[in-house]
Amino acid sequence: MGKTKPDHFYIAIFFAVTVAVFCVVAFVNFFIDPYNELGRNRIGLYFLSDRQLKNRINTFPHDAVIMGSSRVANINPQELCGYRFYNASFASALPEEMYFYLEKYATHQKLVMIGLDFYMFNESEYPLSEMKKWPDHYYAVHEYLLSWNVFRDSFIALKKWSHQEPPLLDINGRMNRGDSVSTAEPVFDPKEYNKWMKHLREREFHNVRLSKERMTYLQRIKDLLDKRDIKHIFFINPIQEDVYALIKNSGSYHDFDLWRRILKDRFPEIHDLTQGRYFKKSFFMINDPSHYKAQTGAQFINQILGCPSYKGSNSGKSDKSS
Amino acid sequence: MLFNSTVFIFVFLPITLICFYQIGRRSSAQAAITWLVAASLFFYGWWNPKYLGLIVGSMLFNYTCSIALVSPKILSLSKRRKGLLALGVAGNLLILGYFKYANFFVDSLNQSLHTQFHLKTIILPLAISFFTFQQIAYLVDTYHLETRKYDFLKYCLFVVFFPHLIAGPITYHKEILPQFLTKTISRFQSRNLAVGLTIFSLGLFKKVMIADHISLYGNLVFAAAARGEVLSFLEAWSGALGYTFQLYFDFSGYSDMAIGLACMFGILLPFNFHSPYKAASIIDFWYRWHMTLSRFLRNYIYIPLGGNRRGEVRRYLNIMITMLLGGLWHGAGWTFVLWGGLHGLYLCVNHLWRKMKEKIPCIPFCGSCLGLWVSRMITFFAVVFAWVFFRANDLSSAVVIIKGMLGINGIMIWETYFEKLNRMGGLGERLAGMGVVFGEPKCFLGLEQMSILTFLLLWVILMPNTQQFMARYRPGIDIYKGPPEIRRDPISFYWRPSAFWGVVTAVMFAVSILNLSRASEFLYFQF
Repeated sequence: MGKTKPDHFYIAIFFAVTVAVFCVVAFVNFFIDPYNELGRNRIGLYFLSDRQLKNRINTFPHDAVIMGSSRVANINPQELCGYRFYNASFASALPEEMYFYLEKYATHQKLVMIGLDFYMFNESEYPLSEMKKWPDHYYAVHEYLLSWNVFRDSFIALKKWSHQEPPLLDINGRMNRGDSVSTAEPVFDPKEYNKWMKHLREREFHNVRLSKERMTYLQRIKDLLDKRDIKHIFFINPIQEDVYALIKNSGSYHDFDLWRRILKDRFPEIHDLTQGRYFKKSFFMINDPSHYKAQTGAQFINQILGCPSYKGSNSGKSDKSS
Repeated sequence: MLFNSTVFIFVFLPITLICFYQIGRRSSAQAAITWLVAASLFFYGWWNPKYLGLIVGSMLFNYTCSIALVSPKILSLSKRRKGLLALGVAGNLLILGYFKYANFFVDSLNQSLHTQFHLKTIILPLAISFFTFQQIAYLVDTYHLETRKYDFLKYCLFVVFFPHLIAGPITYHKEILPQFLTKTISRFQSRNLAVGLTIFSLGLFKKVMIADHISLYGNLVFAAAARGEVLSFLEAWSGALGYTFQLYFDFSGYSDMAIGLACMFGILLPFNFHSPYKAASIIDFWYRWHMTLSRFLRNYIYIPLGGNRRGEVRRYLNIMITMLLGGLWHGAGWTFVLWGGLHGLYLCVNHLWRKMKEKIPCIPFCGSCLGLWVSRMITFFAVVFAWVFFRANDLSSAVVIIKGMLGINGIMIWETYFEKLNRMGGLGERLAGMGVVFGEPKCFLGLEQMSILTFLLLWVILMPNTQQFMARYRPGIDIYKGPPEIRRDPISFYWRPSAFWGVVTAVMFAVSILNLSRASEFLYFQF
């Protein structure tokens, strides 16, 4: 292996190209900042990496928090009465995640509302998270700047922004899902509807193993909020009629029933909305039986809060853009 | 510290490399070697400093034994030397046995005899299987007077040299130690850096861009099998093939990275893979797969047991013992033993077939191109079947997957393909009529997955391997002892230090780094 000129040239090319690629990627990631990890995002958040985005809670002035899964994430805090809410929900939220989130961020609020779903307690399909505390950042800075995924998403964000698409997350934490963003009434699509039903059958109401540890986490949330003098309200999310029939006919009804009874035993003030007036299809998204409409959510939350006829904030301030 | 972590690539490696050559230039080769030993121990201690004592103790013990084995006082006393060797080997095996097999032994005892012995969980020290084997080989060679007298520092570097410390290649003293004695050891040569960077980048690309990306395929299926779910034909095959390629790209990627790293320091390591999935028989496969381990098993277990020198029956028995121990070396679990046993059986069948071929020379297609591809196909599928046992959490999970692969649970295709197939002359309807179910297989990701697996299959059977690609520069030691390649590979190209390859390698390296974000462990770290 003798020393020759081509080797020097080769090494120089190797390092020059590598550094050039790194610089371009880091530059784009730094200026677009598609997940707002560096706090530099100016074009809006177009990605549902909602766990990390909920770290922005302190950038929005609020005195109450509403939390839960993607079902709750649709609810517009502007339409809720009595408090200025931040919607801290994220998709497939689990009790242990909510506990660590609240441990970190529930410090000064007057009220915390938590929406619960059956899947959250099914440990076989949704294994316990290994989280020990809520992370400040999901990426180290160098990792973020030199990430291909962030680079790709920077371009997607730019494209959406240039097409004037609304961001997926408002600054009050509300998630803009397809149905709630679109002004046109969506058309019923049986394929899409059945896809969701299948998902529910195979993931949420399948292979159920009720988690004792998750119940403990729920208790820990209650204790934490009690200790910090923060009022708290737990509620079980409404279930659409077809979904209810699905549970009834599946082998998991016994577990479902048991789960509700345990929750009521442990938290007697819990609001169980599974079989109330919000049972009908009209309260749910037309093609997605697992998610209720944003208005439905606002409606029952306001009912719980004691102002059922409240129609939204009159402050005139918009919480829309991010 | 993982080779595929930013802290290794951007901090540890540059510092170690620059200091090594700077110390070598300003001071002496001995000082540079001391630095390299210190850096390697730091590399090992990064994982858990607690086990630094174990590796240093192990080196002290083995070095002392080796010195004693060749001391003039004892040289003429063959019984004492034998006893000393036995003591040395037993010491190594005891440490390995305690850390790696004690829990397994107690659990197996409790299960079979319904006893209640309890042993707290023992954490397996990183690389223990590798450095133990390497040192046993050194002791045995010293006993046979095949080693020279090396100072302790060089011996340490032979054992802990960080590129091969964690997951091999398993090196022999005669390959590595003489390289430490050369005067040019710490003299920087740009060719070494160019070649080393290339092989390292290639390995990183294999690991990050291929192995990590396809790990999902195997994980999905094996997790479903562990839950006892029924797997259809395509699901089971996609998982088994996914793991087959993941393991190859993961481990050969790791080996390439190790060879590339060593090359940057001017040290040649033995190659560990020689396109194993091109093997035309199981015997050939073991000449190509994890070559340094199979060489160790052959030289230090199979041949000492008598090899093929004591008749046919004994030969097959020796093969079975060697392969069962080889399986057990990979992990303390019955699935590994079964995997080893299965390969032992394959090897016996292969040897019997060879004998039969000698007696019946006119077996159709033998020696022809078609015969070669049929042999390759049979070998490949036999290996895939065996990997199922290797990867499965337990025997019952393996059986679930094997059942799926055999089509016992039927064939399920994504229902979205039904209409598409129907447009192709009613193929959908016909397939449905033949019992194919159109539904939503949970663990089969569809056409994209099939395309990727097909592409990888073509890669492993058509593309040149690292040593072929780098053949003009001999960046490692070629230990391939299998039959010479019968035919040239359909695709062959060679690296050289040109602008073109500079750009290609840099892009591969950069893209891999950009996809690191979360460093994942190499599969062979667990062994």
